[in-house]
Amino acid sequence: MRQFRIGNYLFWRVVSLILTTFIASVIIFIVMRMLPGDIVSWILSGGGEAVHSTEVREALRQELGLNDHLVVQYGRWLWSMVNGEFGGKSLVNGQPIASIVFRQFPVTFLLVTYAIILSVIVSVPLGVLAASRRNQWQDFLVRLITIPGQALPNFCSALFILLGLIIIFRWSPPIVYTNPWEDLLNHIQIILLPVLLLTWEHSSHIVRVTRAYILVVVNENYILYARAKGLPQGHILLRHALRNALVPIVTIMGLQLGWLLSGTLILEAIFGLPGLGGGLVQAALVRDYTVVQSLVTLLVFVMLSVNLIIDLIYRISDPRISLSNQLTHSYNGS
Amino acid sequence: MFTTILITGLILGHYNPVLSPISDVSEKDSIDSERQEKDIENFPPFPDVQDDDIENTSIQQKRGGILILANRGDPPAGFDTMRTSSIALHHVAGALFGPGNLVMRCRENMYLVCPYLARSWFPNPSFSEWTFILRNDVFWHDDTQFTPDDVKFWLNLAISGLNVGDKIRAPAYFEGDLEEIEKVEVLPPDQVRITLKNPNRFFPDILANPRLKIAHPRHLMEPRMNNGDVSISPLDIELIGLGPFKFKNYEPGTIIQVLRFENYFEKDDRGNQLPYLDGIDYVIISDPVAMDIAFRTGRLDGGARGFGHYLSEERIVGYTRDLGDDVSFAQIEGGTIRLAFNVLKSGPWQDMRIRRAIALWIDKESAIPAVLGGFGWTTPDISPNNLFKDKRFVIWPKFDLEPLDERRAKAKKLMEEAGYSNGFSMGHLCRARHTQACQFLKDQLLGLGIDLQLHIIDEGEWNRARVSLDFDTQPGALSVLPIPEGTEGVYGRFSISPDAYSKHEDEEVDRFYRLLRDATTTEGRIDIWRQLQKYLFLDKTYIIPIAEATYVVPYRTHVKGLTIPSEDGHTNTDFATVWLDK
Repeated sequence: MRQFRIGNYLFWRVVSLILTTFIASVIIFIVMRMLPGDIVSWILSGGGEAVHSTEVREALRQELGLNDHLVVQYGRWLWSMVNGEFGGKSLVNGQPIASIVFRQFPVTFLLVTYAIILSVIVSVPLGVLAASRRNQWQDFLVRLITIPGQALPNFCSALFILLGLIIIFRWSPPIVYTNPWEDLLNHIQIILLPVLLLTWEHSSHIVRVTRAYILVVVNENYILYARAKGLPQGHILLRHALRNALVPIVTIMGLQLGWLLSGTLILEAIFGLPGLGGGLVQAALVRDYTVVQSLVTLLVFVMLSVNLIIDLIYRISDPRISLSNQLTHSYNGS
Repeated sequence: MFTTILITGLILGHYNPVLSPISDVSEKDSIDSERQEKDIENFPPFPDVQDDDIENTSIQQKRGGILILANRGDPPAGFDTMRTSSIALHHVAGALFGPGNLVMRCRENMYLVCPYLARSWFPNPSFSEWTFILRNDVFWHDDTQFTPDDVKFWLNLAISGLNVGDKIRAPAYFEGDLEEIEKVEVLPPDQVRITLKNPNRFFPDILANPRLKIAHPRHLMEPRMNNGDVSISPLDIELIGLGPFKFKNYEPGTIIQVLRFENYFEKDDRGNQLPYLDGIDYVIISDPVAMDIAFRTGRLDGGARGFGHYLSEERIVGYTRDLGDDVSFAQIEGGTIRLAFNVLKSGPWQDMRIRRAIALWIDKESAIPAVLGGFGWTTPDISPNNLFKDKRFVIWPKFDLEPLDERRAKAKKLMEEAGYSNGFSMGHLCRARHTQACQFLKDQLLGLGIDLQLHIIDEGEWNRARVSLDFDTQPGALSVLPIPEGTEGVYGRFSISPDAYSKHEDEEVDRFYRLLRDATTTEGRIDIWRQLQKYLFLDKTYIIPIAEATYVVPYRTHVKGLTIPSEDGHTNTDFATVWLDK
């Protein structure tokens, strides 16, 4: 019976995910078309410098299919998303969007994954430490690190650090990106700084959330009971307090994924990483409709999928949460 | 850890002012009619780049090495030189496709036309037909011989595009430059005859535009186009070109790599085959600060070309501090900042007195440090200022040579006469990447009582709005047009040239361009060109040229043999004569 309920729940969540992605894609399509600007003029003018005739502009518009009815354009794009072409080709350079995604996605994925893993390793222990040493020097030190992490824009920190590295060490990261399986040392050198910056920003939130929720949980009755039984403090924190505080922490981590992805946009440009973020920004600025539609739809799908996975993790981390309550929990973020 | 690095770096860093800035010309000098000569002495303060290395036969060029250059972005449009003139493409396209087509701008003097794929050419007596005799030692990178049929294919594709069934391929963006071509004929075995609709003595000058590159091998593209793949781009056929370097590798967003083409036809004065380099790596760095950092830590041999990546006085400080004598700076005359009026839209600016008043009021000299990063000078628009090589379009008496306070008094009087002594409000189309120039104009015009409303837009909207009649004024593009014939697209009537900076329907401008086309001597051409400039900038003041940027590109001093053009960063990007002295 329980398995049937889980299966039923999962089915409707997947249907909802697909429907939401579809609606989002329609909205993205409409918004992009409503934006002022003309990609054809951008292409022909070389970024706004060269002159060209109206006839050439109209001919290129027809060649790129931009004179077709909007419904036809959307339908063509939607079909190419479904059949694996990921939206067809870039209007700017004619590259298949599938190749753009397969090339850019791993870069951003690696960047975000490294940052998440490092954040978890760093932030949960720091949060526990800060909570257990409340208002002592360890707590103050942790807050001294996390407040700038939350306050400073990551691109600002990036530029300061790069300039500092040049001035002091006369060194800068490599300028040509390689995947880890191509040249591991080069990969580490080029990705280390952006990963550390993202980790600093991301983990600062998690440390503070962890600290806050542990401080709430340690006043619960079952914790007092555990102390009365004579259990060691470390055991109480890790086996009882942390486990119960994990639910909101996992929620925050999942919600932070959107922040992380947006955080990669400028860092990718500064550090020369050929990821999704930089590609998306450039495509939006020049109105490369197909690329923007495809990448944003993909990101929406990824975010919704992550939310679904987090909801399922709730169930594992807290058996008290039933499926009927889970919906409330996921939307309340607690 | 990060804070420590930050603080330490800031403490250890120090700022040195740049010595002898290029723009340091006093107002007194600006009214000196022989200021051109004084400018030669003041300009440039940095050692210019090394044309001597080519001309000095005692220097032994070294073969080998990989030149590492920054490129400001991925080449758009699949590297198709018919689709776009983006410098992100042409910085690379020169190496792959060569510095020209049948002809090219001479490396020693870009205002002259030199042979490239054609070894010679001759007109008929009426200058309505031009016959080009091709070289017989030119090969595509797949070792297929280059033939007159390639020329015909390329020109027809550029001028007319292609229709296959219901599929269409648009003509080249530069088809307007070639619209005078009526017919292209192949005269076997090695000649191409181009018939023009009207006689033109200076047709090779038009053809020598470095943007007109042959990147479309007929033997590879024509079969696929006839099968319906009309939008095929050079990237789709592995970038097979005619240039000194052939394609090796392209990772979008990261790097473009090219290698020496062993079968390249050009040779140096000693008969040694070009190019000297083994190859070039173009590293894609879209952020200018990231480029500065990479260059200053020795990861680059040369900077990127393109607005935003050219250096300013402040950025040069870091270069000279970190690299000292290991860096030199190439200077290229660049685009002009200007104020252009839409006189087809009703408003006070339709009154010529208002436009003159604004032209007299603006302190153009102050635009150089304020807007151009310290590098530039005031000049009429479209005047190639090649101080060192050729003055055929220079020695131009400047407009409005009185002291600033006298000009401003006149401006006030004109405003009063026009009935706007209290000023008015006027819109201005402002590109988000050029807000400094917009703010400069806004601040300047406040003194005249004009409230310049800035409409700040991104590149996508810029390319729509600038060809529309929606705006009151605009800055115009930063294009560089070294020959007068190339300017009709930006100065002509709106109904013929929607890209024109100033929107007008003045048929007198048509008359000047007709006279230009009919000119029979260079002196006559220069005279008509000056009359046209005077008409546009003074008599009608449709456009107010303010200052011309000087683009500064850094190179390591071990990079030798660069042929830096005096203007137009698209020129001489083949790097065939470059060698590395290390």
